[in-house]
Amino acid sequence: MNIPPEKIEQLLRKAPSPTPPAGLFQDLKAEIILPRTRPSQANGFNHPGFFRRWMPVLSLSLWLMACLVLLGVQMRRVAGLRDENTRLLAAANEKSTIAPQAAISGDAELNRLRAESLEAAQLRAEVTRLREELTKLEGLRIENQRLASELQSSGKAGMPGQPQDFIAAAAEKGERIKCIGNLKQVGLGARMYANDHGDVMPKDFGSLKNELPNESVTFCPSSNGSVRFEILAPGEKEGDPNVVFARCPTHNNVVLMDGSGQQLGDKFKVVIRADGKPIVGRGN
Amino acid sequence: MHQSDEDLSRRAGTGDLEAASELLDRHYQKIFSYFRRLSGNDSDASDLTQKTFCKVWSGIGGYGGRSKFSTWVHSIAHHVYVDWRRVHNRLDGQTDEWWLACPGEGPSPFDTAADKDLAGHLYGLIEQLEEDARETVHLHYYQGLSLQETADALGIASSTVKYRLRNALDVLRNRLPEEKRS
Repeated sequence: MNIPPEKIEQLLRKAPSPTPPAGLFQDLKAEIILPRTRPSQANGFNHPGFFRRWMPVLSLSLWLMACLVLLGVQMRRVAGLRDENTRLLAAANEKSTIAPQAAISGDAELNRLRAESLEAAQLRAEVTRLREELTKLEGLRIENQRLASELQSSGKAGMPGQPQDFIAAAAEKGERIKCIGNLKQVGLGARMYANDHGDVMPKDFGSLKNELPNESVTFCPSSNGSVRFEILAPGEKEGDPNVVFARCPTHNNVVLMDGSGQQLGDKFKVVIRADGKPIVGRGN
Repeated sequence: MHQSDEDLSRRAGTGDLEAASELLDRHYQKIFSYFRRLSGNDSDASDLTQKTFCKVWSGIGGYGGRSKFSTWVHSIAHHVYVDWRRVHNRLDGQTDEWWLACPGEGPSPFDTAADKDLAGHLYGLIEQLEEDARETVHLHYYQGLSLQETADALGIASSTVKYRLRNALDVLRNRLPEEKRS
């Protein structure tokens, strides 16, 4: 006997259903205890179901987001540490480079201080020596006064060669030399002017303000600088070196067209040549 | 107006007692039959039915309508039955006598006496199957659930349901002649 499967399935689907005992429905109905109504459920929107449905996705998303945040924080920290490391390495290299230079400069500074110390000691010794000489000079000055008073009392005062006259003569000589120097500066400035103006010498000192260091060199240093040099050949051509360009009326010093200065003294003076130009000639 | 089980369950979830009563009226007989066939007596079947509907009402708020209401109730009934078997260590199935007597009550659904006789033997053989196959046959053939609904109620894949049913039919085909010969 071979029963086909369809027959078996048909018989199984016709299985009888037992009848429930009487009163079971009433018992079950009496035991119905429904959950308390919540506002969200009353509106047909079930929050627990919604969250339960999406909880795996939400938790996975939160986990991934937390991982991303953690990764970002760690990358930022690593970048900061890398920068710090680079900065420290650079500082270490710079320090290793600077240290020998500092040592070298320290040695130089030490040598310089030693030299200065030695120089200070020498200066102190010099000061001591000068003080001793000052003391000697003070003694000599007292001796000199004593001798001068003795000489005056013995009736020999007023002789030539007195110290006061000697000093005055030296001062006079110094002023004359300085006067020659000023004249030479004026002559040099005049030649510079002539080079720029077609070999024509200036007509006045105002034209030389760009060629002279200051205006005081156009004055004689004697008489408190109140005497100004005289231009004897204003606007002349530079060609003749014998022509006198300027003169000091106080010391009789002159500067020639070629820029050379001369002290004429008592034996020579400025004379007018036949062509009307001033030159140096005999006094008498 | 006729309302679907899902609408009634939604109303019951909001505390509508009338909707809950309507759901109970629609499903309690099938659930009782399921337990009656498995447990073998009215008392245990009634207790299990009560436990099942207690769980249904306590969990009605969490029923999201993802499956049919009958499938959801059968799923709860299946778990209640598994718990009951575990607690009471009830591994015995129903006897042939019960099945032979049961079809005799009321109008017979079988065409011939031979079919009736064969059905009695067949029901007895069903109770001798392994537990998984037996429950699958109960839900699919006796309770009338589809393959997918059976799978949802048991918490398994529909392919597994097909496999179990095919194996069960093979076993029944092989055993039926022997039973008949004996």
